[in-house]
Amino acid sequence: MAILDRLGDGAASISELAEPAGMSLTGMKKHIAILEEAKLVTTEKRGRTRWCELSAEGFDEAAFWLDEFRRRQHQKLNRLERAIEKRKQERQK
Amino acid sequence: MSELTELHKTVVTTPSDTEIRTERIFDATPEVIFEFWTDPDLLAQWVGPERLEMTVQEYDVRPGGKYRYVHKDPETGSEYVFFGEFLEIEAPRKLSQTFNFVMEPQPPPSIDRLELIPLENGRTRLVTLTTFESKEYRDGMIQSGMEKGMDEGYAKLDRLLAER
Repeated sequence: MAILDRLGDGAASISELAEPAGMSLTGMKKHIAILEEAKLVTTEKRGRTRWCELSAEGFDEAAFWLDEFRRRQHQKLNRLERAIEKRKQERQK
Repeated sequence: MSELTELHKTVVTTPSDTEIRTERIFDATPEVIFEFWTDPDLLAQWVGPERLEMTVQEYDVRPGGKYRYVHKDPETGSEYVFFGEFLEIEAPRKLSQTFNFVMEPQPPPSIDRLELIPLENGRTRLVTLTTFESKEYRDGMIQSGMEKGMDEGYAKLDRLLAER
C-alpha cells in the first residue's frame, strides 16, 4: 500500500519507489506489474525511465463493487431489523 | 475504530485486502439477535431477498455442524444455493461459520465471524468480519451476485418507501 500512497502524491519512477521501500528494482517491477494488471497503476516509458502513475479505472471499479456490497449488507441488516421489530410488536399484543 | 453510534446505519469497511467488516447498531439485545441468526425459521424471515423463496435445508448450529439453504426465484425457477459449516459458537456473543455460494468453478469458502457487543439501553453493536482466501476471491464473490441483487434491491426500497 505504500506504493499507492506514494503515487497518490504524483508519478514516480521505479527506482524512486524501490529505494524508500528497501527493495530491488526487479522486486519493485514485479509489484508494479501486479498493480498494473489490477488496473490500479499505469506505466509509461519515457527515455530510459519507466514512470508509474495511479490509474482511475481500477479504483473506480473497486469503489463500485464496494458500494454495491455496502448496499446489499445494509439491506440485509434492514431486513433483520424489521424481522426483530415485527416480533417485538407481536409479543406486545 | 468503532465510532458508529446511530441506529439504522450500516458501516462497511475493508480492514485489509482480504476482509470486509460490517457494523450496525440494533435496538435489541444480543440474545434476540443471536436467536434470529441461529433459529432457521427466524433466519428465513430476513436472509435473502423477499421475492425469492427461502428454504433452509439444513441448519445444525454446533461446532462442525452443517448448514444449507436455497433461494429460489419463483418466476424463473433459478436457484441460489448457500452452504457451510459452523465453527465456533459462543451464545449470545460470537458465532463463526464458513460460507459458500454454489457457482462454477466453486471458489474456496470465506469465513464469517459475527460478534454481538451489548451496549446501554438494551442495544447491541453487531460486527461481522468476512475473510476471503485472496483479494480476487473477495472481489469476485461480491461481483457474482451483483447484477441480480441490484434490481431486487431497488424494488424492495420502492416498496419500503411506499409503506411509509
